[in-house]
Amino acid sequence: MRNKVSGLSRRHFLKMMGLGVGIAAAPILTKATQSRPHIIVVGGGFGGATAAKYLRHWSKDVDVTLIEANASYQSPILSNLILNGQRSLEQLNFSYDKLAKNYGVKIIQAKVKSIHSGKKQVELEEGKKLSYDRLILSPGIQFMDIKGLDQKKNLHAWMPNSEILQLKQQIASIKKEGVFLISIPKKPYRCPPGPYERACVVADYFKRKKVGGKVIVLDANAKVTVNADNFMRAFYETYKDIVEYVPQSLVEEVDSDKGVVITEVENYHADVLNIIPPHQASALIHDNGLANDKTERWAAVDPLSYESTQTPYIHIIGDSQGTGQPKAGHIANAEAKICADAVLRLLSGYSPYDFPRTNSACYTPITKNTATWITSTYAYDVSSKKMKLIKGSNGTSKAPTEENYHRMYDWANSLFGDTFS
Amino acid sequence: MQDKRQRSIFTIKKLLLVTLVLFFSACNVEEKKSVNNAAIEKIVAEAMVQTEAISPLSAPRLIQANMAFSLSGLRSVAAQCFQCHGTDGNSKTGIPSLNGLSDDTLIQLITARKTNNNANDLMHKQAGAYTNAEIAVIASYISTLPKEMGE
Ligand SMILES: Cc1cc2nc3c(=O)[nH]c(=O)nc-3n(C[C@H](O)[C@H](O)[C@H](O)COP(=O)(O)OP(=O)(O)OC[C@H]3O[C@@H](n4cnc5c(N)ncnc54)[C@H](O)[C@@H]3O)c2cc1C
Repeated sequence: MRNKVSGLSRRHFLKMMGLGVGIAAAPILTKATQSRPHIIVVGGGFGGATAAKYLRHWSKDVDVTLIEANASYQSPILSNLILNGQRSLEQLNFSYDKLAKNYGVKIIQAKVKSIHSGKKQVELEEGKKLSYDRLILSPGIQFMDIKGLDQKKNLHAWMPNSEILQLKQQIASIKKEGVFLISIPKKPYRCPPGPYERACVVADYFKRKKVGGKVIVLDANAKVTVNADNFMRAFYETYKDIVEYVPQSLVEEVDSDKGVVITEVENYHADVLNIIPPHQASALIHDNGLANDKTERWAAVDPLSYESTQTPYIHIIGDSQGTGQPKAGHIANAEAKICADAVLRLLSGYSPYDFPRTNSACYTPITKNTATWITSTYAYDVSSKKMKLIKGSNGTSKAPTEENYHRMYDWANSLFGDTFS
Repeated sequence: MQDKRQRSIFTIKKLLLVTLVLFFSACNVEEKKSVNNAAIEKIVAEAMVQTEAISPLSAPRLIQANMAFSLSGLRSVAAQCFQCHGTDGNSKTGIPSLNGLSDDTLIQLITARKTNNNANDLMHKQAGAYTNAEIAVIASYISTLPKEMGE
């Protein structure tokens, strides 16, 4: 069936591409193909905003509605720099106005309560129902429980919201010789370098403020999961008197009132506990039976289109999906483009492109004026039907440099622009 | 009119043929990649036929070229550059724009980064992940995009 295109759907496709003028004599389209296809995107983060934008950028013959719970988006990317005052939340705040104005995306601020896949409808919390031809979900993650953890007291600040400002205050209130503890869940988690980056930023802040404070990094993984050379050098050289890195330390329990973290081997006391619990796909995915990968935490999808292997006409991109690609904003944007292209093709009777590529790149601050980078590229592997890391495409900068630090802002601003404007 | 049409068909042919030629020149030296060059070639060739089939329309060259890439699906590969280089290659930051450069220049620039052997260059890692054929297609696509489209 693949690549076999009927004359009817081909004409429809050409029409979608803005070239329908010459085919007025085309046979009368069926009712279904005559109406303008409606695509609903849920979640206006790096995945969802990009998908909504590119659908309309590439075709003016589809209607796109973006449903997002919040009025604007606070980017987690660069948000660690709020902790040391190098960025403000305003600088990382993005409205959806440009998607509406420049691309004609219809924006609805609402929370999606449930999906009625049989009727191809989503139901909003207030009860309103909207119909879709294709549904794209990019709702991000939710956290799993840790015994005794009160997430209001021990913040994760790992979501696109303003919690990072509270964490900043907590850190600023740490007295001399105080302790900041950050815990890292087992892979896979959102933004592999993110927790190590945060440890560096806080250590740098302590160093410059001469707080004499300590940063304890409890890593549930056997070793630094990414960019290990640069992070290990930062922990054992640059911040050797500040950072204590403890691999293989799974947080088993937390006493939020006393500020104690319990691992298998030891108890840790700290003034500020920044506990990042293990993640799974967002509630929207779990509540609608879409978390069907082997681990039952993430949504299994076909990487050619990001269509759910569970429920047809529903596509899942970004951190919620379970293709094994990193959970990061840059690559969520990449997946969104593959998905948008595939959706437009599918709506026109074509099959998705056979050899999609995605890439990930990330600049990470190490000190107040140096940064490193990591990058990787993924390709569809025909035999396993999976996205696979292209050999040799992954790498890191040799060392943190000032040039990388400046490039970091260019990279992030480009990504913000390609996603939100 | 006839002349214009001929020229536009010619341009598309050139864009896509550049790709095919590069496939053959690249095939020997390319290390085994998970992307099957012959299959991409087939996809591009099919898109070319389809584009030509509707070329009697007096569609502007850019739309036609864009359509060929849409038909081939390779648009989604080219768009992987835009995370850093801006939508349609129109950069708004210190990272260089790709938009406005010719396909030849783009191929040259990307290939130079692919072959510079500098492990400390992020773009070297990125460029190395694409076959020469893909680079040619990406370059062809971006060279047809109008400036500031979508702004
Ligand atoms: C500190 C930190 C640093 C990071 N740095 C980087 C980096 O340098 N590079 C990088 O690539 N990535 C980075 N990331 C990771 C990146 O932020 C995430 O991977 C990315 O945000 C995932 O995008 P998403 O679209 O899947 O989800 P999200 O960005 O979480 O967006 C999901 C959206 O869906 C909405 N939503 C959820 N459920 C519903 C519902 N039922 N109805 C309506 N709306 C809903 C939410 O409100 C939210 O806006 C970092 C993350 C953190 C925490």
